[in-house]
Amino acid sequence: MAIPVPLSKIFRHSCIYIRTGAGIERPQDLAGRRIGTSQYSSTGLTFLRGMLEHDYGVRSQDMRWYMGGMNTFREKPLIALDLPKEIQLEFLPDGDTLEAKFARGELDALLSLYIPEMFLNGDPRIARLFPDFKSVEQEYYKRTHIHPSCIRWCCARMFIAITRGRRAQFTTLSARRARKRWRAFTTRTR
Amino acid sequence: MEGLYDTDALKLTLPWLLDHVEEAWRVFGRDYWPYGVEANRPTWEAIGQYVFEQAWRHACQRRGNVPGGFA
Repeated sequence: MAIPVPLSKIFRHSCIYIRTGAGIERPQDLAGRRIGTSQYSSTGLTFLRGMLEHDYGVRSQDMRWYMGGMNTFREKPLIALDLPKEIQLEFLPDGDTLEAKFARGELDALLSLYIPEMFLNGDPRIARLFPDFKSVEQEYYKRTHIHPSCIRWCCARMFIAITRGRRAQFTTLSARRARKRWRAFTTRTR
Repeated sequence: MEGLYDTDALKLTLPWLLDHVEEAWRVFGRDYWPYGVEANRPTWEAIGQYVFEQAWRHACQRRGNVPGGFA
């Protein structure tokens, strides 16, 4: 028996970073802009794009997407992303990275599930689109009851283990590894 | 989760953990991290809708069959 368990939940408004001086003050200003992301097809980015479209009217096809590694060059995938033809997405060329391109002023925003190093280092060229993301996310939740999450299908016994407070042990594991760990645990205690 | 709310010793090295828990209660109610389909329905319906809008619709249209109830 499989039960859907949201192991990770995180609001994504904090994951929109803008280039200061690019004239982006509101989400609507992202329309027509050059957006960098390392994971276009991730659940997090899908929630982010849905939020931008439904709350602010900025659709994925209204932005120009650039994909690559944040700080290390990442190859274009061998199997092409199967995207609607109206989506403009380019892969960064050999050796280039999203943060380098952003620093050169060639990207206007980064939609990143990882905190960019420029932001961590306090670089003044980067800022959050929602500096007060907590209040924005609380309003979003109260209005929509959406709490962006990553769903894992777990077997019933694992679910019981998780709900009994063993969650901390499982959260960082993939479902497959967690299942393996759980099996080891049960055979040890039986 | 209830274990996070303990003033004997903090369960995470976060100085205002107590306040974070109380704030989460204020926004989400007592169970701020519910499991199960019903409690998570708005979130999962949203991701289903977004995946359809952002990818499936185009894939279905290309194959000439848009599933009913979506379009």
